[in-house]
Formats: sequence, structure tokens, C-alpha cells
Amino acid sequence: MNLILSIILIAVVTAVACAIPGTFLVLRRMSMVTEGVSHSILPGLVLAMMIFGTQRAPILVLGPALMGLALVVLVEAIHRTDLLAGDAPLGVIFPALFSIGVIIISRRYAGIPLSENSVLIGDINLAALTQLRVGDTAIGPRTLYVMSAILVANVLFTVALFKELKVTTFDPGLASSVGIRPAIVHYAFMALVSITIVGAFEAVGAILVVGLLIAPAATAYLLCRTLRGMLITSAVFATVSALLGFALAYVLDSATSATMAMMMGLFFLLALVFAPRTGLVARLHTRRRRRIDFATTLLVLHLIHHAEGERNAPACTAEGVMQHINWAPEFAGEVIQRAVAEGVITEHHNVLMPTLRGRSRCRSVMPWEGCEDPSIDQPAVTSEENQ
Amino acid sequence: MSGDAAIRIRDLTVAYHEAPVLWDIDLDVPSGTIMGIVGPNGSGKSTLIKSIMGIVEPAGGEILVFGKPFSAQRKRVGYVPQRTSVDWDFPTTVLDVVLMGTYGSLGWFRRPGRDQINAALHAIERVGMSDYVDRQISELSGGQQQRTFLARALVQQAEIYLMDEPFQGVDARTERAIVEILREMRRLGRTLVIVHHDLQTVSHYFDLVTLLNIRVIATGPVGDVFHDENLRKTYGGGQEFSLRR
Repeated sequence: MNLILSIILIAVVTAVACAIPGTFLVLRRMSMVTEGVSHSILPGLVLAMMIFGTQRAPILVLGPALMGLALVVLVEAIHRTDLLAGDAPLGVIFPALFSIGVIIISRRYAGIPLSENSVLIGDINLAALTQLRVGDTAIGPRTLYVMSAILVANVLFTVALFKELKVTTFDPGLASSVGIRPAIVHYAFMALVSITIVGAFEAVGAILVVGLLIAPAATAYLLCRTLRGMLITSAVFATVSALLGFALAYVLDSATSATMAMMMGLFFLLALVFAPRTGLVARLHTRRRRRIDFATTLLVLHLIHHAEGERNAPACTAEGVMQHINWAPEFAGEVIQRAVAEGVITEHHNVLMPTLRGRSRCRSVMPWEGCEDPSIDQPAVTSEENQ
Repeated sequence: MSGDAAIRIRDLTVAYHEAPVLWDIDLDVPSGTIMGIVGPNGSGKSTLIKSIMGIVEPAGGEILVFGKPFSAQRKRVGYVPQRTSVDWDFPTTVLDVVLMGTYGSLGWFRRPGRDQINAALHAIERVGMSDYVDRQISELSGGQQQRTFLARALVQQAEIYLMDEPFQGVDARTERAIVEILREMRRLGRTLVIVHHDLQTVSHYFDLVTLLNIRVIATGPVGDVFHDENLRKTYGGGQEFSLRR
């Protein structure tokens, strides 16, 4: 298989395989547990090497996978004691496990070539070169087969247990009361997460695998209203990031996995700023709109109070409003314009007057302020609940 | 108040670490009634609900649901969680949440189909939320959120419903609407156990009331046990309670 095509395929398959469980990790607020799991790979691997007495065999994958699960169980056990709060149990456990791995390596396997670089960021190019062999023929990169199998497993698991994953994540109380035991789903899921991390480790390393798991899911979280949408969106972001990351790495001649992860971070940043409902821009816009909405009501209320007595009082001009409510001229102009456009006040020869609609708006927002029209008995307008 | 005990609790004790959260609870909830559970913060109200559902492991005692342990009666019990315990930013819609009420009858692996969706839509209509079926739950008001969870309970088709503060954070109109639905559920023979904190409304909403403060201070028909003396025993003597009844 062509080397470039191999790299692209590994990148995409690994990214998508990670993004799917990543969605549930984000929703379960377990993002940083993946950091711990990825670091317990080392002790898992060396312990498996000691037990099985070999340095290269597929069975060695069992070690890291089990160690990842052991980490989850240990962290939860300490968490349940209520002695350490937040993520402190994780911070205690995973460096401890990791250092066990380092100590064993330095004592027994001092000769093993273990590049820091490949542990931290992996090497997708190297992974693409390592061929799986049947007899004497190379049938393609081993990592591609491993990650494809993991991707299929993740998809099947998520599809088969979609409602179980959803309800145990959203409402574990309901789940256990209807007989869907959250613990079973949880550990099955975490086992799959461990296996995914072990598989992706070779291509993207211990740190970047966290990015692959979390970043596309976090991006989708900001954009989506349904779980299904979030899963699909995070898979799409993963694919696009992998492709763009590869292309950029090719042009810049930089590390592919790091460039992929950087693209994922970039997409998250874009979503953070521009997401339609939750993004910073949308929030600023909403806040500004609410401020003007409230100011409009305030303006009408002000006019009602001052219009009661002397009709052409100086307080009922734009200048009067600015002075009385202490608004900057620009803001006052904008509010008055808005109020006129909405028909809650009128402007005749520079004098502002509240309209009936303005009075009923004030009444619905601030019923205690007495905004009844003195001349007409209007039926009360009921406010829609929480609108 | 006829009928057998829907829930029968004997000598129930629950402890966190060494301190008892519930102590020696004896309680009967007759079927077809609405029972309120009231008591100060930390009196074990939520824990009582959770132990009935087997979410909390009791240190001792027995809980029977229609004469059998809860594990054998899961499908006959529905649950409405406390509003504050829900992750409202979860990417899920009103219909989706209500559909979760059908998960118990589906069991593992099976997905909700046409029948379940129709049942969910019907329940959503009953609580007056038909206009919000596809809303994400964070876009709902407090009252609408509570109605959504009530619809989920309805779709569970249970006989006993356990509700943790269903009136919390809802406006007066929604509260009346919810009470109407609860009364209709009782007419259909359902049994409701409701954790409640507004003492003023206890005598309007409930047939029976249990005053709880780690122990059962009193339990029985509202007219018999809901009086100032029992309230003082429940909430402590320092505070005076005037009940406009």
C-alpha cells in the first residue's frame, strides 16, 4: 500500500475511533481520566512483558488494557472514600502507576529503545511503515488493521448500547431504577476506552491521544442539541482535522499527529467563539440585546412617570432622558430608536410619549410599578412563562 | 384509604459512614393515595426515596413494594428526580428524555420504536408540552423542565411514583398544572410519594403526610398528624409555625 495513503487512512481511522468514545467521556465529565489511562499503558506493557516473558506478541495488549481499567477502578475507589475531592485521586494514582513502569524499565529492560518522542506524541509515519505480515507477504500497516478493528468495535458498541449509554450518562438514577445497571455499562465502556487508547498510542502517543478523544467531542458539544448529532459531528470534525492535519504536516514537514491534534484544537477554538447558541459572539449578542430590551422598558417607565403631570416636561425629550437615566448619548439614541421602532413610544417634535403598547409591556415586566393608562382601562396582558 | 400497602417499610436504617441518615423507619403507603414527605434539610427525605429504589444500600431493615423487594418490582415504580440533580446542558430533547421512560419496559439492547414514540408524545401532550417536543432541555423554563420529567414518569406506566421535589423552581401556574396531573394519576389508582418542602400547601395537595427527621416523627392522614406540635418536633422547637388551614 502506498505510504501516503497508509498514513492518511491511519490518521482518519484513529481520529474517528477516538472521537466516538470521546463523546461519552466529555458528557460523563471524565476527560482527564483518559490522561491517566494513557499513562498506565507503560506499566501495563512492562508488567505484561515480565509475565509473558516476551517483548513482542499481540497478547501484550492485554497488559495496558487491564492496567487502564485498574486505574479507573482505583481512582473511583479512592473517590468513594470522600477523603480526596475532585480529580485529586487521579493525580495521585496515575503518576504512581507510571513511575512503577519507569522503575521496572530502568531495572530490567534498560536496553529497550524507548524514545520519549514516540511515547509522548507517537509517530504515525513509523506506524505506517510497520507492516502486518501473513506468511511472507506484507498486507498493509499493522496499526491500520488494529485501529480499524477498534473503530468497528466502538461503532458496534455505541450502536448496540446507545440507549444504555445515554441513560446511564444522563440519569444513572433512572437507569438503575429500571434495571439498566450503570456500573456494567460504565466498566464495559471504560474497557473499550482503554483498548482504544492502547491502539492509538502507537500512532499518536500518550498525550495527543487525549486530544483525539476529547477535542472533537468538545467541539461537537458546543454545537449539537442531540446525542446522535454530537456523535456524528465529532466524527466529522475528527475526519476533517485528520485530513487537514496531514496536509498541513506534509507542507510544513511537521509531525503528523501533532498537526492533527492542533487542527482539532483550532476547530474547538472556532466553535468556542462562533457557535450559534453557545459561542462567545452569540452570547455577547444576546447580552447586548437583553440590555437594550431592558433599557427600552426602563425608558417607557421613565416617560410614564414624567408624562403623568406636565405633558411637555423637559424630562420627556431625548436630552432629558439622557440626563435623568444617565445614559451616554449614543446608547440613548439607540434605545429611543428601538423603542420607536417597536411602537412602545412615539416621538413628536422632539417630545417622547409612551404608547398603550409601551404601558402594557411595562405592566407585564414590572407589574408593581403601576403603569396603568390613566384614561383607558386596558385588559391586563399576561406574560408568557419565562420568555 | 383502603387497599393494601403499596410500599411497606420496616425498621429501615441507612447510614453514611457512621452517622445514621435514616433511623428505624416504619412506614406504610396505602395504594391509591398521595403521600407527602416533609422535613428539614438533611432529614433524609431524598435518601428515603433512593432507598426505596435500591439506589442507596440500607444498613438494615426491609422495604417491600406490593409485598416484594423492589428488584422484583422495578417496572411498577416510576421516579422523578430532583431538578437540581439533572445535567440540563446534556444534548437531548424533550422527546428524548420522555422516551427514557420506556427504557425499563424495553430492557437491554432493544430500541424505542413507533409504539414508544407514540406513548411519549401522548404523555408530552398530557403535560401540555407538545409545542416543545424537539427543544433541547436547556432551552426550557424551570416549569417546562419539571413537566418534561413528569411526562417521562407518566410514560413509565408505573403504579407507584416517587417524586423528589416536583414543585421546586416552578411558577405558580405550572404548580397548579402539575397538581392536576397528580390528582388524575390518583384517580387512575396510582400511588404517589412526593418529597415536598412547602408546608403551606401540604394539606391541599396530599392525603397522607409523613413528617421526617431521620426518624419518622409522625405519619398518617394530613388531618390527623399535620399539626403544630408534630411540626415543632420535626423542625425543632425554636421556630414557631403558624399553619393557615
